[in-house]
Amino acid sequence: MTAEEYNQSVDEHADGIYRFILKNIRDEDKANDVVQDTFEKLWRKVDTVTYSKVKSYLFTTAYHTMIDRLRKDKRETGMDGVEKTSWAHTEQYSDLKEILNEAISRLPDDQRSVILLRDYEGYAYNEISEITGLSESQVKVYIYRGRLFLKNYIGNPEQVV
Amino acid sequence: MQYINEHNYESVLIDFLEGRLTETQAEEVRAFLQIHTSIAREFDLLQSAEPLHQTDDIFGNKSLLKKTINDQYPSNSNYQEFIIARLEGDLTDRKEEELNLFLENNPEYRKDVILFSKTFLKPDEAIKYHYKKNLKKRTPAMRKRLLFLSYAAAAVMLLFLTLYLLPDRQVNRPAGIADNKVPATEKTDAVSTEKTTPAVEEKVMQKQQNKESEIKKKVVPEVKQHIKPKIKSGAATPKTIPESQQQEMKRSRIPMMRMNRIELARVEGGATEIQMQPVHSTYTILGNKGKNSPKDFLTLPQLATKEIKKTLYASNEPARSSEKLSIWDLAYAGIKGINSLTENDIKFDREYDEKGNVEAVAIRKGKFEVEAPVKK
Repeated sequence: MTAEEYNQSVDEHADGIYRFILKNIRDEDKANDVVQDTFEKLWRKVDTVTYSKVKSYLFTTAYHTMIDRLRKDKRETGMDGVEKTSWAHTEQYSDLKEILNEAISRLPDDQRSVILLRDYEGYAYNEISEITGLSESQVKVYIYRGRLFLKNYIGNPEQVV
Repeated sequence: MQYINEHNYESVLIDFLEGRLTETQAEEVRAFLQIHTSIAREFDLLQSAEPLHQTDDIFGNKSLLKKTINDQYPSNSNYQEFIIARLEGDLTDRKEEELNLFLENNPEYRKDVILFSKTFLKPDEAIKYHYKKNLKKRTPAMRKRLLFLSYAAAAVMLLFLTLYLLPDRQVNRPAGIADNKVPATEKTDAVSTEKTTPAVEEKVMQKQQNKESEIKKKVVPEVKQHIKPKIKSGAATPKTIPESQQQEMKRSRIPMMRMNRIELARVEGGATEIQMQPVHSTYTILGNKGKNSPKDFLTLPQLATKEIKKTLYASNEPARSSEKLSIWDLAYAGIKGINSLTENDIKFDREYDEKGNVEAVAIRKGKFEVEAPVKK
């Protein structure tokens, strides 16, 4: 990949990666750091990564960088093992987007990542499997569980105006 | 107490074999084996045994055992899986029909279809990464290109400055300079324009017009004679224009003035330098319609300067110096450009002395203010 192609990749994918990471970790500074680290890694491998594969490479690198950071943060704060799947939405919301954002933030990390990759970037199961390192069937299971959780969180359709 | 004895030697020997003992412990084990020969034989057998390796044999028909959603039928226990699969586009047409049938028979599950359809997220396009510029890289080639562009921009700027900031000075031609290629009459013209008094310029114009009309008188009959035989009798005859109309046409003509030539002037010491004549361009445009006085003529740079100043100072202070673009005008234009690009309101003020020269400049932005006197 040439430097021009690298710069083009920045223009094309930086927003998507930032969005994906920000939705996962909900911290702008950390998301910025992850994006920066990701592109630094790409620049170091600019000779080996082809332009056609750059999006996949960037998302894979960003995902793993984010996972490393999350693990590190969990070790530091001791917040591991919090059960999140038992939440249920009961309030009246006026905006479905608001409910979904809330629900997404309560999803387990793996489920959230695969759903975001699927919905935001439109990746196929096998592509998500390559990015996350999960098997294809695991990806399908996480998507199923994630959607079930989101559906239960939304609750009754009447509650959403 | 001994680390190895007859009761624990088996586990210690395995640790010894796997290299998990310290050097002291290992030394003790070796001493123990020398004393207990039967155990040493047992240890030799243990050493010769090869560890078991994982074989590469795999079961190749896993896919036959796997079940997908398309191998099942929608039921009360798996209908949600079916709904999600349909929304994800994983169902075959046949399975989709089966699901529709199931939902028709179980209308209470229809709301689940609506709820699941709402779980699909849409990317928030408003979220942008704002530091893309920091991520971008420049290679030496790109740097070179940028440098080249900078040089090109500087060259254009220099050209611009040269064009607009050249003083509109008159040439004081040293006496005795003669341009051999220029006819005597034109030489007189050139010299006469040096003093640029209106009366002299009018004279020059008059001479010029006379000369042109003389040439016309000479040339036109010759042309007519040459063309005449070719015109058949009865063809379109030249139309005579009434004298009053001719006068009117003459009056309505835009008067033009020839560009004064750049002349090589010999300076003291024999060297030659290019001296620019007053910049009345090739054909200058009349500034004030109806009057033919040379005062009304504007050179192209003067016209451009006037237009630029009009644009620059349209709504603000009028330009003090109306003839030239000064460096302060360029600075003002620059600040204006920055303001329009960054949507800022930076002000660039100047203070003038009695003669109209810039005495001090100030840059203001809200409470921030920088003021500096101008060195003469």
